[in-house]
Amino acid sequence: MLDRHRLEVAVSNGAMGMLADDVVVALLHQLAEGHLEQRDRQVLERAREILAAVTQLDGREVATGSVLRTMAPLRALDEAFETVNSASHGEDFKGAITAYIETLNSILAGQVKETETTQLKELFERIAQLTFARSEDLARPSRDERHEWIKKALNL
Amino acid sequence: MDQESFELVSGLLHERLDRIEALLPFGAPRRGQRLIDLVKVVCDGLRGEHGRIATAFSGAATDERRVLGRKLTRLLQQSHILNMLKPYVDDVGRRDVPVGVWQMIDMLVESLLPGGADPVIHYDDQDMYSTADLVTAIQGTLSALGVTYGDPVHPIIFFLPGTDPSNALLMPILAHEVGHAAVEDSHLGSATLKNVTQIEQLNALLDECLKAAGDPSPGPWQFQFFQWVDELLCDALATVLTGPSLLFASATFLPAPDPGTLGTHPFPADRIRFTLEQLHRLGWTSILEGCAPKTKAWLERLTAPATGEPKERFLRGAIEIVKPALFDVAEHHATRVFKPDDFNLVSSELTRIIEAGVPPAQVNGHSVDPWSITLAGWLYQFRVRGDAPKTLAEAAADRDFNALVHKAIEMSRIVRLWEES
Repeated sequence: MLDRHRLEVAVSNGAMGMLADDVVVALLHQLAEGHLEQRDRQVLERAREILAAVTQLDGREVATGSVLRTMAPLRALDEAFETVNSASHGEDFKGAITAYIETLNSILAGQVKETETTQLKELFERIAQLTFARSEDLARPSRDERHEWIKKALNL
Repeated sequence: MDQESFELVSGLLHERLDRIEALLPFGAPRRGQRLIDLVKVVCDGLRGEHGRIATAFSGAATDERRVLGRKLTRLLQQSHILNMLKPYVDDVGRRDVPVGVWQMIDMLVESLLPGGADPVIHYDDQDMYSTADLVTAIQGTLSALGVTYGDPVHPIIFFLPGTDPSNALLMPILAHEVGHAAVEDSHLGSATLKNVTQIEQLNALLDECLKAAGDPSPGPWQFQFFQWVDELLCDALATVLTGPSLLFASATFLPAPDPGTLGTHPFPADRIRFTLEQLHRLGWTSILEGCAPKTKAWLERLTAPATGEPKERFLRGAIEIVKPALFDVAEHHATRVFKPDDFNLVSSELTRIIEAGVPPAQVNGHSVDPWSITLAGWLYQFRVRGDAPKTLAEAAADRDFNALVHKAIEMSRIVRLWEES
């Protein structure tokens, strides 16, 4: 049977990783050139949405309107939360994420503070590295899956 | 990443995508074709994203090249998702599935998935029912690649137990599984939580239980609560659609006396209790008490073990609070509701024909709802084998009887299609 759990984790992890790479690139543009391209803005807006949803999920009220809750499948929610949580290790989680959201707001409003921007870049660099390490494991095909392709190739 | 390394990984990615596409079946469109279309969309998305990365890489500074190189390697990893889908690509257009199974699945899709579905049937080597809406499952990848699967009809894999794929009496379990696709597609979990009237009580319970547990991160608790809501929604959707047959099928399949664990699903006894309560709400109690009073009483007596752990207390308390909203959402979502009055109109005649060993395709000159046939089948089994829990297992295991019920559903569907044409 399709390992749906593994598929959803692989998808969610990959999507989060690609977003993290895009955020790091956008912040490199901001730090080096002092401005954002249109695609960079979209990426930062998406990152802000996810961080906001993660803080909602971490609250003491049941998250009835979470952005991530409507991002089916449910596994995406768990994966995003765990990844951001791991990347923020050692920090006051909710306080730290709120501060990162503030930094994103400032950058998108054109008011850049270099120290905070660098810290935000470091967070997403950690997210990128965590997701990359995880995807190395997830991407390795099982023996059965490789066998399926080999069988098909030999029958051509 | 340097230029040479970038070119190497790019070459590997293209070679892998070319190889996957060359192995896809071709020819006239057939059932499940949309799975092949989806694989092609992912391949196109990976190629498109590769093109964007390559353009950015050519003019990027060293630090940015490092990140772009990592992203390129991620694309190679994401292409593995296509490997995971490979066994199901082979199921596209299969011709060895009994007509009755196709018809049952079509009816479930019509009732629970207003947007339709393109089913791919996979006989599984585990004795398990399951479904997977692949567009929803890989939505994250599609979004990250900036591509959309434009067809509103999604390919959905239907996993059926390989050793007994057409067990008619257990088919309500498949209704629960189709419910998962409905819950994801229509965001029914969110709709349920938005409709909860006692939200302050829910939040107070979360806060109190978190304190009792020493203030752990609330995230995993909320996530598990969402999982439970989704599972109960699927039970509720299947109950609306199939009536007491879901109760009997669940009691057999779970099985009901399984004490369960504090995991992704609510405890079996709690699920059974929810189904009994919903059946009462839908007006089925008198039929249950008339046909299987002892089995009903046994099911009502089952209780899940309570450890008193704060997390368990929160989850079990929370589902009680959301229950009315959950039933409302399920009852509003299903396009067909199986009602006791409709069953009463046909039940005696159905039983008479079943008793004669004939698959009942028509009653009073008209086709019959498949869930009336299924329920008549369950109730007939209680009559001949006795009103006792062991009948649940014996009925589900009776291959000949299940084949008769299955044939009745198949023939009645043909009559219905004839009536509609």
